[in-house]
Parts: sequence; C-alpha cells; structure tokens
Amino acid sequence: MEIEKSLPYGEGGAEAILNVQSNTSISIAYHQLFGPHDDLMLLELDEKLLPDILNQRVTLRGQPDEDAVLCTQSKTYAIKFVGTSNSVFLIPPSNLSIALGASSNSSEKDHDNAVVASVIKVVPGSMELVEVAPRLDKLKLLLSENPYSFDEVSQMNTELTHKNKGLYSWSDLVEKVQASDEELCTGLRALAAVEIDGYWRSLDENFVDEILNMLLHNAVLNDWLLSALNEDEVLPVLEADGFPREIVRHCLGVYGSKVVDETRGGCTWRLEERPVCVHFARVILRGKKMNLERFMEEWRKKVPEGMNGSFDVLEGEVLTEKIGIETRIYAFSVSSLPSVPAERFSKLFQEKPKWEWKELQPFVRDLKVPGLSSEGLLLKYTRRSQPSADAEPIFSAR
Amino acid sequence: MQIQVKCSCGEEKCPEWAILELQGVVEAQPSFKDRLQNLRIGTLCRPTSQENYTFTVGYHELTGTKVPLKKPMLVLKKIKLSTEEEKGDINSTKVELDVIGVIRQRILFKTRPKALISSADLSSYYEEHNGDLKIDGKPFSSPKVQRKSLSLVNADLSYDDGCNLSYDDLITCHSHL
Repeated sequence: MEIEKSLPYGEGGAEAILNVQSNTSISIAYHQLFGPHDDLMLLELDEKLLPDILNQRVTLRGQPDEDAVLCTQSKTYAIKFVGTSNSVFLIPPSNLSIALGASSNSSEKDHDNAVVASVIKVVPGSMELVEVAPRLDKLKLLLSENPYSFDEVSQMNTELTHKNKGLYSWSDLVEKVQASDEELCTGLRALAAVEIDGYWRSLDENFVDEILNMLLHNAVLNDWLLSALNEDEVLPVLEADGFPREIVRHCLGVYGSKVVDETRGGCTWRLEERPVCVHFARVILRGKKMNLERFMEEWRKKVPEGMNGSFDVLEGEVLTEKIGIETRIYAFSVSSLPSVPAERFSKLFQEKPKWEWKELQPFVRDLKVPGLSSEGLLLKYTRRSQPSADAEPIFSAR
Repeated sequence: MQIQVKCSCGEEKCPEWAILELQGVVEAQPSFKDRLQNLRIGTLCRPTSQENYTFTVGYHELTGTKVPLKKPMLVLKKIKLSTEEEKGDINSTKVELDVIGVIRQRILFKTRPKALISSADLSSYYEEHNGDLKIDGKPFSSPKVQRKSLSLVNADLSYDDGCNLSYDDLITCHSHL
C-alpha cells in the first residue's frame, strides 16, 4: 500500500497516549485498519465484576427476541446501550494485530522519531449493566409444559413417545432462562422441581396428592411419627405401592425438613405443617369458591392429626370475599403470579381493585427489584388512600 | 442461547486501550471520506507536567484533561463460530465475546475548539505541516472539527436514555448510529 509506505511516523498505540511525557506531543492518525468495526464493543462495568469477567465466569443469556442479560454466577444484569454524540476515538495498543487477527503492523518504522497513536474506530457509545431480578417466570412456564405424573411412572419405559416434548435439561434451561446459575437453582427449588433422567420436572399436583395421602395413610398403619419419618422405612413401603424412591424422597424434602437424629440410623424427616396444610387447602379449593366455614371444616378433616390448620398458614395462597353475610374463600396463590412488579400489581388489581395492607403484603413481599425498596415499589405501582387518620390504608391501582 | 464471555489475555495482562473524546465530529475533506486509513488527524500535546492536553486538528485547537473513568470499560470483540452443521441457518451461528482490552481513563476535550488564527500560530502550523503527506498528488487536508449542538451533559447519557440491547443486536452486526 502506497499510503502506508509514506507514513512518516513510528507506532505508539495506546501506550503512547497513556504515557505522554510533559512537553512532548504525539501524532494521532486513523489506523490502517480504521473502519466501523461493529464487532468491537465497549462494556462499562463495576470494578468488582472484573474478576468474574476476566476469569470467564460470565455469559450472556436469552433468546434472539429477548433483551440480552449478562449473568455472573449469582446475579443477572440487563445490558443497556448508551449512545453518545461525542466523538470517541478508540485507540488500541500497538500490538493490536494479535487481537484483531490482522497481519502484523508494518508501520513500526520510525522515520521521524515522531510517535503515532492510531484510531481504530469511532465508538458510537457503550454498553452498561443494570442489575435486574432474574426472569424466572419463563422457568415456571417451561416446567409446566410436561409435569411428571403417576401415568408416566406406571407406564414405565414402554412407550415414551412424549420423551422429549416439554422436557428440559439443565443446559436447556440455561439456554432459555435469563437467570444466573444460582438464581436458576433457587428458582427450581421454589418450584419444587426435581431432576429425573437428566430433565428438570415439576410434579403433577394430583401425583403429589397421591404420594402425600399414601404417606399419611402408611404413617397411621405403621405408627410412624410425622415428626420423625425414617427414610429407610418410608421409601420401601411407598415403593411397594408404586411410588419411585427418588420422587418420594424429593417430596419429603419439599413437604418436610431433615432432622438430625443420631439415635436412629439413616435419614430422618419431619413433615412440616405449613406446606402440608397449604397443599390440602389447594386440593379442596381447586377450581371453586367455597363458603369459609365449610372450607375450614373440610380442610381440618384433611389435615393430618397433630397439625392444626390455622388460617394464617394460608397467607398468600387464598383470598376471601364477602357476599352479603357470607364469606367465601378461593385459591389465589402468590406463586402463580408474575414476578415482574408491573405485571404483578396489574394482576392483583385486576383480581380486586382495593386491598388492605394486611391482605396485600403476602402477595408483594417476594418482589425484589434491585435498587428499589418495598416502600418504593408501593409508591410506584399503587395509590394509597386513608379515609380517616386512624383507618387502615387502602391500596388501589395508580 | 448463551454467549460465553471469554478472556484470552488473562486477568493479569489485559492490555489497556486509550480513548480520546471530543465534542462534535471530526470531518475529513470529501475527497478523503472513503479512505481515512492512515490519514493523520492531529497532534496531541502535553504542555506541562499536569494532566492537561491540547489536541490540534487542522487549524482548531482543543484543550482537555486526562480523567480516570468512574468504572472501567472492557473492549469486547465479537467472534462468530460457524457451526459445522446447519451452516445456512443464521440462528445456529454461535457467537463468543472475547475481552481484548480494558479502558481505565480517557482524555476528554470538552471545550469549544479554538481557532488558531494568529499569524504566529498559523505559521507554526504550516511549518509543522508543510511538506506534509501527499496522497495521490493532492495536498494533505486536515479534517475539521464540527461542533454538534449536544452539550456534554447530554453526551454523558445516563442509562435512562439508553435503549435495551436486544439479543439480536449482539449476534448480528448492527451499528447503533
């Protein structure tokens, strides 16, 4: 190239600019590879994220039609493009050729002893990161496509035509869900999902109901303590009734907690009141509204002995409405609501235009928006009114 | 879909890149517009031991300072990995982002350009530039600085004005201008 040969300057690159000595000057020129270089991007980020990036623990996740997010091990960040009208000249170090895969820079020659730093690109702006809540609603949706049911168990391996339909392995989920690894794990736990044959599944509610009933039934028959269920006794008995060990163990984990009990061998579980009672309330209320007294009666019958179903455990699971003198109850679970605040509040006010704080709180307390307090959330999405100074405040849609 | 962010240079030795930032646009004469490569833009000078700089472009002079960035910036390079199967399908093109540099400071020129009009200035300018590059026999013409009406406050956009970057933008090569 003629031009290149006639360039009477040595090559200094970014180093020269960063270390200009006082009382000296350097020349700035367009690089011989100057161009739009759309494949070069700038990403502004917190110093504390640098080690994560430089140690390759970071990925961008999402589908082509979604906004991109950047995930570290534990957090999710939205990526924003910030344009600038300033001219931002980007100047690489002098050995740029390695990074750009170009032939080595032949303008190292130093005719005039003048140092040149070369601009590779004028940058239109940079990307920056904003911490966001993981987008886990999609996880819920994916796992609800093909829940694990008793049919599938009894079918054994005969004809699994639906084998790959609606089934997602960890690596499938990572490709599809915009959340960090840790947030995805937490999300799977919250959905009580279990890994079966390499796929993450949620359990069909009827199937869970059968397992719990069978467990409680056998507890009575065999004099098992619900506060100390020995895995070695429980699993074989339920397996004999057709419930796979892994699934039963998973249910013990979802509806109970591990007890450290050194007097008895093996693994011991205590069935927890809240999840068990909530489960039976859900089963009773499935698809219908009920008179509150009738519901309480039926619910207490279902709840295993030793557990006293108090109405408080149903916080965030049910709503009541007054029609005349009758109070009716129906299922309305916080876990079925969107986790994006705007969508959540819209659903809530669609269900019921006015909420007292006591009612509203269980349905919004799980909302977490980085950088916004729960008061901030309420201010942003609700209108608060208080008919008189000592009255309970009422929240309605903005 | 996942895009892995890689760093081939390693944590210790990520090379530092530099940024010169000025208001407005540097424009080349029309005859040079399509071949800016290797064209000289101007002279960066550090007159004293302080971090103050001048940048002379044509007969305009800018004054500025070197300022550390509040947050570091990474230079990412998008690398397309062609998958062996399904080559025709764009969606199957895998992309990686490679960290090839880090930027920690910039030299920012936020003043209006000052015209070097005094004859002394001009003569020193010509002294410096005469007998300059000649490309295709035409005399070298320096680009000119053109101020845009946007102020620096606007140029330092906060992210509220930033647009969300779609995943597509990262995979295909859109320019955001």
